[in-house]
Amino acid sequence: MSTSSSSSKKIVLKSADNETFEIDEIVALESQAIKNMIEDECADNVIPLGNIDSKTLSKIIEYCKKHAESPKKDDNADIDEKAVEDLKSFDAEFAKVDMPLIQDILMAANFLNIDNLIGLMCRTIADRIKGKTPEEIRKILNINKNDLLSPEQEAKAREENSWAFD
Amino acid sequence: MDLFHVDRLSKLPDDILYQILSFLNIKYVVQTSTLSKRWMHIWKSVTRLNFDNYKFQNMLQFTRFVNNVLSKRNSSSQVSAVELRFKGPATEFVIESIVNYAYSHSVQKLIFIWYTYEEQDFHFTRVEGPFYPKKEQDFPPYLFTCHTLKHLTLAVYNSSMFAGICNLPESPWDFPALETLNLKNVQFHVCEDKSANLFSKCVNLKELTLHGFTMTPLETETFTICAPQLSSLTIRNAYSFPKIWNVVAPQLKNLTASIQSSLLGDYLQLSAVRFDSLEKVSLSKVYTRYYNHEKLFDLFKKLHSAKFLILDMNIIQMLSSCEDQLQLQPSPFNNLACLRIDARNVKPTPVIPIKVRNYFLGSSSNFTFIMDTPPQVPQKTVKQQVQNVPTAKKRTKLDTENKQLETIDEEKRMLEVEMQRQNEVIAEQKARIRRQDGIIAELNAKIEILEAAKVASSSSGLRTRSKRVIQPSKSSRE
Repeated sequence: MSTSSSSSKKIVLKSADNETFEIDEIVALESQAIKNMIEDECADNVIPLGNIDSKTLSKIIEYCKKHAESPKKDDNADIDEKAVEDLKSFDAEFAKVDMPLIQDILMAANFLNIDNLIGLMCRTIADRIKGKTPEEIRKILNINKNDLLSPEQEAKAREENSWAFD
Repeated sequence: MDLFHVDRLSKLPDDILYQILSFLNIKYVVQTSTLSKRWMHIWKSVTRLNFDNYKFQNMLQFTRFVNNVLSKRNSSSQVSAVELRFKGPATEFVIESIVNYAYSHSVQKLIFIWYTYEEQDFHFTRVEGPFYPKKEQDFPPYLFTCHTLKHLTLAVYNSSMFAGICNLPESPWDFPALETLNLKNVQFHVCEDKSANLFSKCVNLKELTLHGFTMTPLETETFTICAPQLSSLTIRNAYSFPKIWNVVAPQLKNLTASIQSSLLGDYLQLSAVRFDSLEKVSLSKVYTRYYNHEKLFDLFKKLHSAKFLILDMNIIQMLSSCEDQLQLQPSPFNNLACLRIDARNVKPTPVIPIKVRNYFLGSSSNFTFIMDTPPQVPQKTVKQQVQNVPTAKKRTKLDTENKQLETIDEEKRMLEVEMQRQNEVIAEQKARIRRQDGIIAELNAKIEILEAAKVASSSSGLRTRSKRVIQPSKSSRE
């Protein structure tokens, strides 16, 4: 649809490990943060993303490409539901990665302000910790050891909220 | 090692953690308080609350849990959405606690799913109707006043179709901000003059879905849907219909309805209003032997402005059976761009009689005709183009096609959820049966002991038998 008309304009993203990715502007616009930069004309030819590594960035670009190519739900009359369905199965496949990468993507998506991707990653994390014990969740999320509660603190927290642990 | 195994979430703002937790049941949300220092108080500010009393052994426990959540939650944090899956009588105070809390914290979305399969929860309030006794209870009246609510879903699931009938209040509902309303398997309780006008105060209502409802009394005269903003209306799988649907919705774009006629319910009879904005109309017919062609013609006349019309084969068959009358009817549709026939359940692919086609497409000069055939056929849709169809038309055709698919998928999803629920119900019932079996076995054993004792008291020769009987009673108690 709208991709073909503006496909000429390119944006270059540079990852933390100095890898560059040339993408169509329309793909980059999936990121509200980049969109704002472009609109405010404070984006150079190359946008450095010092906190996103190339592995994460390439995943994010894969996501944005797919979503940019799909027709938007905005105008009611022209919704292509097959495309919506296609997008859903793409999202499901996309989320089948390990937890560190999910968290990296979530962090990057939060930085780049890509709402749909934040939602997808949050849902994926929720699905993985659903029904798990606190101990299992700590492992899954790899919660910082320095942030852990002392056994006494944990016992106290558990006691305080004992009504939720029956 | 630490380089690769860092706690990434700790760098994210609380909002993200709230978002993650919004997908979980509130019980698990509270349990995250022991994860780490950071997580200790996160649960208190989560804005989407999902309650489910299924996870609790009894109502007392659930009530205690809810009171704790609501009193310990950070009350300055708004509540954006509440989902309550509830099994039991709606007179329970705990529902009122949750709803009051939500309504006083500017809630925008409320989903209340009510499972009413517990037989003992019901009391007979009246016996009515020719075929079955109804057990009825009411949705609590305090549910129907909220000035911040934008989306409301009320759904009832029963173990059998008539196991529980849940009445909605008959006075107008006070939801001035409401945009989306979904009602599933509910009963409209219509006041004494046999007319209902429930949505007159819902001035912002845009989407209304009525799915699988009944009306009482059965001879309800008019059901008024007066909503100046309404753009989408779905009326499906009704067990009873009012005599007249008085739909005052000048902005209505999409109408989806299943029509039926039987001794209990009747056609989708619309009052004489105009739908000038109508774009898509999708009609299906619940198969019944009794039909009334005049009523169907009348319905089509009222939907004359539709651009896309989707019909199922039951309607086509009904029209085919009255071709002579059909010939006398002028085509009511003057804007029709696309007619689509859903024949996916019909084999072999039916032929649409030319008179039926002319009835629909007579006065339109440029239109698309689509027929859905069973999925086994390699070509999914058989297209017959009368003239060169412009690309815009093709797009609209695709649109209708995909909308249809969407509704099917939606249906599928709902069914899956329902199935999962039913499985849980079955598992629970099985457990109860097992428990009861245990009790029965125990009682039987006791009876045998008593009998044995009785026998033993009269004759000591049968002592060995009575000993054998005692054992199962011991094991069943363990």
